Amino acid sequence: MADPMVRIEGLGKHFGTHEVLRGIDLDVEKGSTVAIIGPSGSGKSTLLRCINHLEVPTVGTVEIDGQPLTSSADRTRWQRERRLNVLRSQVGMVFQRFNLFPHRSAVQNVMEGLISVRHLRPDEAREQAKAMLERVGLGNKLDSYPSQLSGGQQQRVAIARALVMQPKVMLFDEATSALDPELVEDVLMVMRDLASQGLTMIVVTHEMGFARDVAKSVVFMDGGVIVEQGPPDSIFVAPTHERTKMFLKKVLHR
Amino acid sequence: MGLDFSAILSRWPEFWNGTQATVFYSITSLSLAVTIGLLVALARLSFIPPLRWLARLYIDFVRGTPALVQIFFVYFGLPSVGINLSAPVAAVIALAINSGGYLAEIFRGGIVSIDRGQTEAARSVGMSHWSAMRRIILPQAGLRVIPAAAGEFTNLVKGTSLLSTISVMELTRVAQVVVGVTFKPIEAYIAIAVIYFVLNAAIAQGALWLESYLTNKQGGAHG
Repeated sequence: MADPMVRIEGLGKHFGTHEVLRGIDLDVEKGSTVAIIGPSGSGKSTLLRCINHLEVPTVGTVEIDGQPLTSSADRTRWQRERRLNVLRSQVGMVFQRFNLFPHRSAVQNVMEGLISVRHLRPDEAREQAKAMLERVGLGNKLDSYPSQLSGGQQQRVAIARALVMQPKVMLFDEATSALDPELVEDVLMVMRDLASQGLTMIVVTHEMGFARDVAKSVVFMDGGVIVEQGPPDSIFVAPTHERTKMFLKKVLHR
Repeated sequence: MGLDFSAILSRWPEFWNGTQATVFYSITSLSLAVTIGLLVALARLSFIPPLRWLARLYIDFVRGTPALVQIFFVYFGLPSVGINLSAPVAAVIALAINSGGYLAEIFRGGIVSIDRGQTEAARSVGMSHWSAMRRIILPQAGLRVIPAAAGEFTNLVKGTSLLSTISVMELTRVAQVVVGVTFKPIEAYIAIAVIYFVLNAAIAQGALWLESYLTNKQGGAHG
């Protein structure tokens, strides 16, 4: 494989004595979508949060487009933080509970990173934010506050907030799990659209249909390890591990 | 026993001056206390352990000792180590140090009450710790602490009456002086009680207005 966009090597995470992740190795190819599935508590969200170091791994390394998130060259906390801030601005993240800034309107939410991280002028930032909100179908909600938007609309604002930074990779942490069923499709449509445009995406999801249709590769996790990994056809049609079979049986025959 | 306010009313310029002094000491101490409170709250939440310990020590000390003792310490105590402060300066410093301790805990409570997801969202777009604090967390925390901070402001206004003990001519001191001349203690103390009450009612109402104004400005009720 050519140089991957995301390379995870030997990643482990403990919370006290509780081992959430054990020896994770994963490469994500440029322009591909990887779906991470697995039972709750399998460590899939923690893995995603380790990729941009919202959760600092206990051991192991993460590289984004060849750049490591931590380096032994950084002596001070300030240097480490600086490196992390730069890399995080190249990794978009979408959360299960949206986490929009409630005191900012939709367009201000999207502008925030452009202003405080990229130091754009407010009028430039507003133009870009407006274009991005139009792209996710919210051109008529620029000045609405999060409390005035539906869950699906809030999540699309959150996607725009991440996308406007032109990230190299997007992380979706159960982005549709908190949505009413009839709103899920709006968000999935945006995500499908992004995948088809060649954005690198890592998607933790319970939407098996989405994983099957959109993902190039599906990763099944359980007990803090990657149990198996492969193209959706092989994972969904002919899983090799007993744990994968059991999990898929549960989620597919509801 | 009948109440006779005529002697008090004829002294209204003195009460007016006292009221102005009380308002002046309240506002100057409050501005300083808010600054101290914010810095100490941030120190209390800092990732540098000694800063956290110092902030904790300051808060515990200020909240664990009487305000009157703190005022005496600054005004009567510090001169013995060569720091001579005039009564008004000592008054403002002592009140600000006292109130800053309470405000620090109120502010810290407001900051930690903001959902972790807010910090995570801010950091995930690449914002620094400080930038996230200043642009995302503090504006939301500020709105949330208004009721408690207004309560502390009220305490501060009432606390200025302690300054009568170091001869600062605020309301309570004025009342004492007037009583000494007119022998009308009930009337004099009723008069200043009413004035304190009106000042604090204004603070309570102002806080409600500020809260609803900022809530509307920030797009209505938050989840």
